[in-house]
Amino acid sequence: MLALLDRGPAHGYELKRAHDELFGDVAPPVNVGQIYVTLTRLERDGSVVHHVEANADGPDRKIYELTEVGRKALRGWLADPSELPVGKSDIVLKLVAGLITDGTIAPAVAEHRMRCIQALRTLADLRATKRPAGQSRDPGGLNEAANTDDTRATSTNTTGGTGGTGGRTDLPVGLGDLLREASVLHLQAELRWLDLVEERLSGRL
Amino acid sequence: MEPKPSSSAGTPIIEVTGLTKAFGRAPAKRVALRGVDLSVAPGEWVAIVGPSGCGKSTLLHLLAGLDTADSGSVRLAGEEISALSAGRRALARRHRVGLVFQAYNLVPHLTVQANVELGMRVAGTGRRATRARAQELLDLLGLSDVARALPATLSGGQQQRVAIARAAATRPDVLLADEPTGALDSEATGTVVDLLRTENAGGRTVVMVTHDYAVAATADRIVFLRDGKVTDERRPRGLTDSGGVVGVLPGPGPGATAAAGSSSGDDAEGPEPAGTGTGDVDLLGLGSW
Ligand SMILES: Nc1ncnc2c1ncn2[C@@H]1O[C@H](COP(=O)(O)OP(=O)(O)O)[C@@H](O)[C@H]1O
Ligand SMILES: [Mg+2]
Repeated sequence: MLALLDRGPAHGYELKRAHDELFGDVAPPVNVGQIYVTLTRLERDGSVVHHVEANADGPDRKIYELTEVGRKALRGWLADPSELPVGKSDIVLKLVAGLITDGTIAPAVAEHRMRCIQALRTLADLRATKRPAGQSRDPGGLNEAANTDDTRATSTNTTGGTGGTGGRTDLPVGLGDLLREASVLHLQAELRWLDLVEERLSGRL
Repeated sequence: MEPKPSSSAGTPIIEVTGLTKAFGRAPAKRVALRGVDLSVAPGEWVAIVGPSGCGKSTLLHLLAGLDTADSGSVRLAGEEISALSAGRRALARRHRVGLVFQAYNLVPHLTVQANVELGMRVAGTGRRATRARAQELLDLLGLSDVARALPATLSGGQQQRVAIARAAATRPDVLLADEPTGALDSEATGTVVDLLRTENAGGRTVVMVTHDYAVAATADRIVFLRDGKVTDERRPRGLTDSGGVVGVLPGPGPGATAAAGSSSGDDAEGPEPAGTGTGDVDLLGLGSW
């Protein structure tokens, strides 16, 4: 959120749209309500401030922008160590719970495996759509989305006059591929682990 | 994508029933297949997955008519291939089946291009058509630069792609591939999957063995093999119309379920979408806002 605002002032809906365009392939759309809750918290912390702007087409809008405190918080967060993808995921907890309570988790494992496979299928389909056959690199990926967004952002600007750039996404080529690849690799690892679970605990699930 | 026939529609191009196969004798006997039933519709794309040693390669070799079963039957386009003489079987295979071996099995003294052209030469394809097809496949698989090299000078991943080009070259009715991406990095895997998708869209039936679930997920159907038996079959379906990979996760509400239900295709065998969840499920934890 701070990073999006670092690109320029924006109103809540623009932030939602920017998030969804960046992460639309790999994460659920974020709820606008959630955006405003976060903005309120950030404002309380002094990381953002807002001013109200009249909007000819509808209700007045709150335009948020980053403060120096917010910029510092962003830099601090970027420098923080990142979470490791290890530990107590939901399926790990279910496996342990099943084993210590004699509950059967074989159906949960089978169901989870299929969901992982379907997620991989979705990512493969997205890849096939975004990368025309015969082309070895994703030329646009998110850039295609960025172009359409530019058009929309422009029209928002002319009607609303926000001057905000937080909703704009001009991104490095191939970022869409990288985000999808992260999900693919996590899913492959999860599936290999599920195979291992089945192999080692066969009969005890 | 165009609708694909389901495995139950029409005459199967491959029909396997009660297939068993063991190697060796009494004390050292290894049972590879313990009664496999499998039916594949023309134009279908099937992935076979399972732990190593579960019989995947053995099954593929029997489908290709390279070996004979102990019992059971393999029908290729309605023709019982285990009943054919070795010579007739080889003929049927050359005619209908392209096979990518797990160990590639390239002809060592022939160049990459000659390896790819081999099947077409044997089939009597014209010179120009042969050249053009070989060129097309080598280009698609990023092998044009090594067309004149001998197989031994290539990396494992390059040899694997040559084997795929060779098997696909004659446009066989059935393309069988044993771990076709086993030696490939993710970029080359994508290229091979694209090629298989193109071949399949061109009408070829594809049966591939893989232990990469990301590759298996691109097929119409995944057959799970374990200890010489088929233990499960599933149809992976994508849910791109409901917004990215989140479509397969418990959705934010009835809307997501409706979107999942509206995805087209004969997914009667697929599992029902999971019940509606809390809505904040997020594969990568990117929603930690
Ligand atoms: N030519 C052979 N001679 C002896 N045993 C074999 C031969 N081929 C396969 N097997 C045995 O049959 C079983 C299945 O092998 P295979 O079909 O290669 O499995 P997969 O391809 O799933 O790894 C294994 O136990 C393997 O050792
Ligand atoms: Mg094998």
